[in-house]
This record gives sequence, C-alpha cells and structure tokens, in this order.
Amino acid sequence: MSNAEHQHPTFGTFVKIGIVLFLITILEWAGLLINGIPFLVKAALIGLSVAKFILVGGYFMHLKWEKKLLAWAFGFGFVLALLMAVTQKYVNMATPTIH
Amino acid sequence: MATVAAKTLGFLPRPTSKTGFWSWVTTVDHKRIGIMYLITAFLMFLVGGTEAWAIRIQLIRPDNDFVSAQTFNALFTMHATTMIFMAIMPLLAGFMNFLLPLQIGARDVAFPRLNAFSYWSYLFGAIFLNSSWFWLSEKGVPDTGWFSYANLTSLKFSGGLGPDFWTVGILLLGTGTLVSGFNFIVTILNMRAPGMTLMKMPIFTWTTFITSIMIIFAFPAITVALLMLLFDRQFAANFFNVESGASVVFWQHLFWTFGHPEVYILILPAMGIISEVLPSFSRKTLFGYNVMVISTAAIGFMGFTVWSHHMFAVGMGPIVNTVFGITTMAISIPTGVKIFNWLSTMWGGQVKFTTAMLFAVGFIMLFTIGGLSGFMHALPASDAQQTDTYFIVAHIHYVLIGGSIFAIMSGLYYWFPKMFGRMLDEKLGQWNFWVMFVGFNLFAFPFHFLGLMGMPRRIYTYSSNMGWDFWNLVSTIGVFVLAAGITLFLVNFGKTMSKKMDAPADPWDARSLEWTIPSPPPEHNFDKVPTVAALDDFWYQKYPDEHHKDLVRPATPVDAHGIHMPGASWMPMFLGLFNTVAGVGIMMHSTVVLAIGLVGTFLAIVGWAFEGDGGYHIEVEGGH
Amino acid sequence: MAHDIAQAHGHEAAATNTGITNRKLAFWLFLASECVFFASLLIGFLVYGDKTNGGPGMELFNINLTTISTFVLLMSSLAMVLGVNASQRGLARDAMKWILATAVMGQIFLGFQVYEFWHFVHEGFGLTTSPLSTAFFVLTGFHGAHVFVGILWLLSLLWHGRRGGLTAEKSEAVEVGGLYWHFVDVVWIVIFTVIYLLPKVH
Repeated sequence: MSNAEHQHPTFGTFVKIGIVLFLITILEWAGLLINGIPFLVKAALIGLSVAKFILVGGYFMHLKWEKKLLAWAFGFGFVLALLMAVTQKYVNMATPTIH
Repeated sequence: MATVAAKTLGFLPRPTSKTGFWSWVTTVDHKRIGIMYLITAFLMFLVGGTEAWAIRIQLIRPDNDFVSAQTFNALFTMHATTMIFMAIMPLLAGFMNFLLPLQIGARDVAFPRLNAFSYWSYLFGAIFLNSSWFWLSEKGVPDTGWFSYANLTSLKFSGGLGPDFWTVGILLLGTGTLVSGFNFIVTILNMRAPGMTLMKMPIFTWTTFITSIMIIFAFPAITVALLMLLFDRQFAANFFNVESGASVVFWQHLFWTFGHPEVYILILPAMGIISEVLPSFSRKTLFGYNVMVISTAAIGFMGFTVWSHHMFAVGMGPIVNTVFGITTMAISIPTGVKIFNWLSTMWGGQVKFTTAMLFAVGFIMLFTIGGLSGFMHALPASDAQQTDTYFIVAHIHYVLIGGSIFAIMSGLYYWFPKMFGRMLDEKLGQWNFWVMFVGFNLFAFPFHFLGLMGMPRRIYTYSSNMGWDFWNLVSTIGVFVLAAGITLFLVNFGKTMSKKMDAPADPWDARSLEWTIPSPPPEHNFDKVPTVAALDDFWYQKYPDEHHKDLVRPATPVDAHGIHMPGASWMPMFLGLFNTVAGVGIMMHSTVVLAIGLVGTFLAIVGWAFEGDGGYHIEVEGGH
Repeated sequence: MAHDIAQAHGHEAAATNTGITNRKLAFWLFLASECVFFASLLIGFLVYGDKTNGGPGMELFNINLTTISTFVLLMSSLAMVLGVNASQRGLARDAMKWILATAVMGQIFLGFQVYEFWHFVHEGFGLTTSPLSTAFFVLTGFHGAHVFVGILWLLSLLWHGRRGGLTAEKSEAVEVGGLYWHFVDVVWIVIFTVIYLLPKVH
C-alpha cells in the first residue's frame, strides 16, 4: 500500500469499471444471437472474457497498484492452469478409448 | 479487538508451558515441529520397510504362500503409499522445517500455527490411513496400487473400504503438504536476513523454495482427482464409470499431472541436502551455484511437462508419445548438469569421508544409475518393453532409496548435532553406510535383470520355470542386509542420545547461517538478526579470501520491543484432529461422526481466529 | 482463518523483504494454486462435453438465466471493492453496508444456482446421469461451495466490525476477504465463457 497511495483509484473509477463489466456481459449475451460465423464469435467471446478477467484482476483485486510479484505469482498459476487444461483436453482426446 | 474477542470466543487459553508432553503438542516452534516430522516419518519409514520385508519374503522362492494374493496387493499398495506420502516427503519436510528459518536467518516461519497444523494433518492422516490394517471389514486395506488406476477403484471392482481409506487419507496428507508449501514460499520470499538476496541463499533453501512452488501447483490436481473418485464412490457419479461413457485414461492423466511433479518433490530437497554436504566436506564452495539454482528451477518447471511418459502403453498415439518422450529426455539435461556440478565440487577439494559425505557420494552414484534407467523409459518404444516390469521397480528404488533416502541419511548425520546437540558416532556411521550400500544394491540391482527377463511388477508369486528364482532370492537377502544397515542407524541414534550434549556450534567447519548459532539452537534461533553480504557469508567470516575480505554487511535491524516469539496453541492440533474425524465420517457414511468432525473443525477455526496474539518477548543481552 | 494469519507476525509486516505482508502474499499464492484446482475440475467438462449417456446435453443450459446470475455476481464484486475502498478510507460504517450488499448478492447468485440445479434434475440431468452431468455439477457445485464459504467469510467480517465498523486498521482483513470474493468471480467468468457461452455459438 505504501507505493502510489495517492493514485489509489476512487469510488468513481470502480463504478465506471462496474458499468463496463455490465456492458461486456450484455455484449456476450448478444454475441450468441449471431449465427454463421462461429469462429469469429468464439474469438470475440474469449476476448471479452479476457477483458473482464483483466478488469476484475487488475482493478478490483488491485493488481495494477500492487507489487509486480503478486501479479507474476498469480499469472504463473493461471497460465499453468490454462496450459494444463488445454493440454489435458488434447491428450485425453488423443487416446482412442475416449471415442 | 483481539483481546475483547479472546474473552468471548477464545475458549481455550494459549498454553504457556515450555517443557513436557503437552508443550510439544501445542508447540509452534519450527525446530520442534521439524523434529516431530523427522521422528514420525522415520517410524513410518520403518512401517513401510516392514511391508517391504513381507513382500520380499513372499517372493523369496517360487509358488510361495507366505501371504495371500489379496494381502500382497494390500502390501505393495500400502508400502508405496507409506514410503512416498508418509515417509520420504515428511522426512524432507522435517529438514525443511528445522533448517529453513535457520538458513535464512529468521526466527520462525511466516505462519507458525499453520506450520503446526501441517504436522498434525500429516500425523492424523498417517494414523488414519494405516488404521485400515486394523479395520474389521473385509478388504479394508487399500489394495489398488499407489496410483489407484480407475476403474479398479470403482465400487464394482473394489467393494470394500480400501479406496475410501486411500482417497480420504491422501486428501488429509495433501492438505498439510499444501499448507506447508504456502508457508515456506512466504517465509523464503519475505523473511530473509538483511543482505541475503535470493542468489545468496543456501542451496537447500533454494530447493525448498522450488519444491514448495511445485507443491502448490501439483497438489490441487491430485486433490481434484481424489474428490472425483470420492464422488464416484460415495454418490455414484460418473467421472470414471466406463458404462456411462467415461474414460479410465482420464484418471491416469489427472493423477500423473500431479504424480510426476511429485517425483521431483521427492528428489529436489534431497539434492539440496547433498549440495550442502558436499561443499562442507570438500572444503570448497559449491561448483556452479548459479547453474545449480537455474537447473533446479528448470527441473521444477519441466516436471510439469512430462507426465504422460507414465502412460506410453495406453495408446495415446505417436504424436503425444513423441512429445512426452522428448520432454522427458530434455528434463534429464538439468539433472545431468547437477551431477557434473557435484563431481566438480569434489574435484580438487580436500575431501573428507565422514558418514554424511559417504552417503552423499553414494547418492550421486546410485541416483545416476536410477537416472540412467529412467532415461531409458523416455523412449516410448523402449518403454513399451519395460513398462510394468521389475525394470521400473529397479528405477523407482534407485531414485527413491539410492536417491532420496541416502540423501536423508546424509542429512541426518550432517545436521544431527544441530538438531540434538550431539554428534552421531562416526565409527558406527561408517558401518551404517557400508551395510546399507551393499544391502541396497543387493536388494535392488537384481530388479534390473528380473525386469529384462520379463518379470511383471505386482505379481504375488511366480512359477519356477520362469528362471526368476535366483535373483529374487538375492534381492530378499539384500532387503535384510539393508534393514540391518538401518538398524545400525537406530543403534547409533540410541547410543548418541544417551550421551550428554556436547556438540560445538560448527562441528563440520561449514558455510551457512545455521552453524553460527549454538547446537541445539535457542528457542529464538538468533540473538542478533544476522546480516549477510555474500553467498557462504559465514565461511568468508572465518576464512576471508581476496574477493571476500572487505565485505560490507547491512546494519542489524533494531527491534525496540525485544524478540517477539509466537505463542503456543492448541488449535492446530484440534483442527487436524477434527478434519480427520470428518474424513472418518465421510468414509463410514456416518452423519453423526461427520457432524462431530465438522462442528469440531468449525470450533477449532473460531478458536484459532480469536485466541489472540499470545506471543511473548525475549530479551537477549547484547542485542536483538 | 482470515484473521489468524496477520497476528502471528503482523508487526513485522513492514519489514518483509518484498514489502508485501505475509498474509497478502500467502493469499495470492493460495489463489494461484486454486487456479489449478478449478482448471482440473474444468478438464472433466472439457473432456466429457459430448458424453451424455443418452440423457440431455448442453442444450439444456439457459443462457438468459445465467447471464443474469453472472451479472449479479459481477455487481457483488463491485460492491465488494467499494467496501474495501470505504474501509481503507476510514469510512467504517459504509464499508459494513457494502459488504452486507455483497453478501446479499452472493446469496442471490446461490439462489439462481439452486434453482438451476433443481430445474436440471427435473429435466433428467442429475449428478449420476452421465459423465457430462457429473462434470457439470461437480465443477459448478465446487464454485458454489466457494461462494458459500465467501458469504460466511463476509459475515465474519461483519462480525469483526460489529463495534465501530470496519475501520482503516481492519482494512487488510477486508481486503483479503475481498481478494477471495473477486477470485470466485474471476473463476465464474471463465466457467461462464467455457460452459455456457462457447458451446452455444453456431
């Protein structure tokens, strides 16, 4: 907390982020109404959820203002978890017994 | 706030006695917890060893009927589970607990009560899992192998309580391990002595750090796998139920995602131990410290990328097999680097073959043999011949006994004076090493031959015309020689403990901070917080050389209140106990027992939160 | 468990090597570890996506309902961060109100989940129906259990501040509780995308 106390976000900043989160959720819902271009819609939905993730992690969880070590520690765990999930999906599917 | 609440909710006062049985039960002192870990884990090591005896006696000759096939299954399952989760890991945890704060110049770990909780989780989990031997029901003992492959663990094929004991038991043990992981990482990152940057930490502290990181990322995977198995067995869920379309290979992937990092969790701290012992008895600094740190970190990370090499035989296809074959070959590079570093440390040094040094050199040799047979499994085509044979059994015993256990023995001889204030007998020690060394090789080397001759692992007997009689006989003789070696250690322990405490602070002329304080260390470890200017700072205080003669150390921090010590507590023990009671409730399908466990757990948490600080201050002459 | 951690070495917090208090560092490491926990649960869903065992599949999931419950959880996160902010500024009473609001919204989210589970079971999609249903219920169930623990945690914070509110000196306890709550929200962001949104794209 010692660093950059003065740039600590205000009440208003958080409310603005809350509004953005609301809008993203609406966009995600609306995205499902689009048919015919699944690749693009999927990419957009993933992009939107990454945006939500970053907003909540960076602002609500204060990572933007904390020492970088915390972001690295959490980021490492998250990326490792993500890689595990993707790899596991692939290797499980590669085994014939699954089909 | 804390004091107000302490009156209303802290229903048990903080205990204050410093001696006697209950002071050990309520202790939060990392040194005492470390010793409790070591003693408990050594007892569990003897339990696992007894199971190994029974296995070897059964296999001493063809068509033997010393135990039934069913008991044999239980024996090899409990032998491996005990050795991995209840002996080697907690033995290493004992060293970490005792040494970590001493090596970084701290007065305790970051969360002393959580540290005690880790121990009690371990103790009650171990008692719980081993109580299965006395459970009055048929097939009460886990008998599905230490990796409990689905769907052998399904209700259909294991109707008894075995897999339930195993699942709940490992969950309890894992909880303690996870908590230790967080605790050690925070301690290392936050509580180092002034001047001790990360790259000036002793190498054992580094291996503890990397191991703890592996723990916090590997154990959640096994936790989930165990919970899934629990749901399958208790609530008829379908994670591994083939009839509903599930895959049994799914369990294997999840288990080994944890299982392979676990292998490195078992060996990295052992490598750390011998990386401390070798420089001390070669009177040289560790060769390539930076490279050692980097290769430890590399092994830690790559440990997560190789798990499918346990599964080359399940038919994952050429792409997956190839990828995991390559990653497995790659991980042997940092391991090989370490071996050359150890050899170079000894090269040109004034090598002194104390018992600790003998075990360390024995480690290098035996671990290299185990590493070479492990490397052979990296080739899927070669592994297809070796998998599920005694060749694998040879590999695992060379890395876990020749590796981990030899390093642990080395560490025991090395740090015994620091822990107990007495020097273990060197003459008995030399006997201890040689008998163990000969016994171990006699016991495990024949497994290579048996494996190549096609003897499958986990078979309870074999027929004479297979040609396996001779090497099985040799191996069984070997296990008794090995046991004699371990008995020599117990004799040495008993003999030494009956002597009076006379060990000097620095008996080996060593290099790290734990040797700057008396043996055994006082409760608060350091009268003055040490300050550090270089790697092996203590060594250069004793023997300044041209690069290290004008070291500028940071100022000693001043704490106006004296030395603050954390207060003892009942709550870690109660929390561990009631968690276990809740586990028993789940396993027995008993709502009453489960409720007692959950209510007790809740009360322990409340008591924990509101019992107040309870710390006290120590005034030491001459500074803080 | 929230309060214990700082007490042990609380007064040394300023002197840590990293400048981060032990409690906060430990808690972030715990969250990093929880990522692997939820990822492992999610793998079940990823692997068994089409294993319906003759029962209903993912077409059952109602996107409208879940969008609303997702929104409620996001807004609870907003209330939480405002509570932390109020506590840090010394607005002790306001902090209490925001945290109460967070707990209520968490409860509403759980209400949606209970309704959803009940509805699915009635549609023939229970825990034991298929590998898919098992993976779904266990994953979202464990998330729900985390929300439940979070609500208990928030209530313990309210208890913590029952006299004089959550003052600035208690703000780290509030902040760590908040980290947990936001993390549960973050996990839901991933679950919502992977389970509810992506399979619906055509």
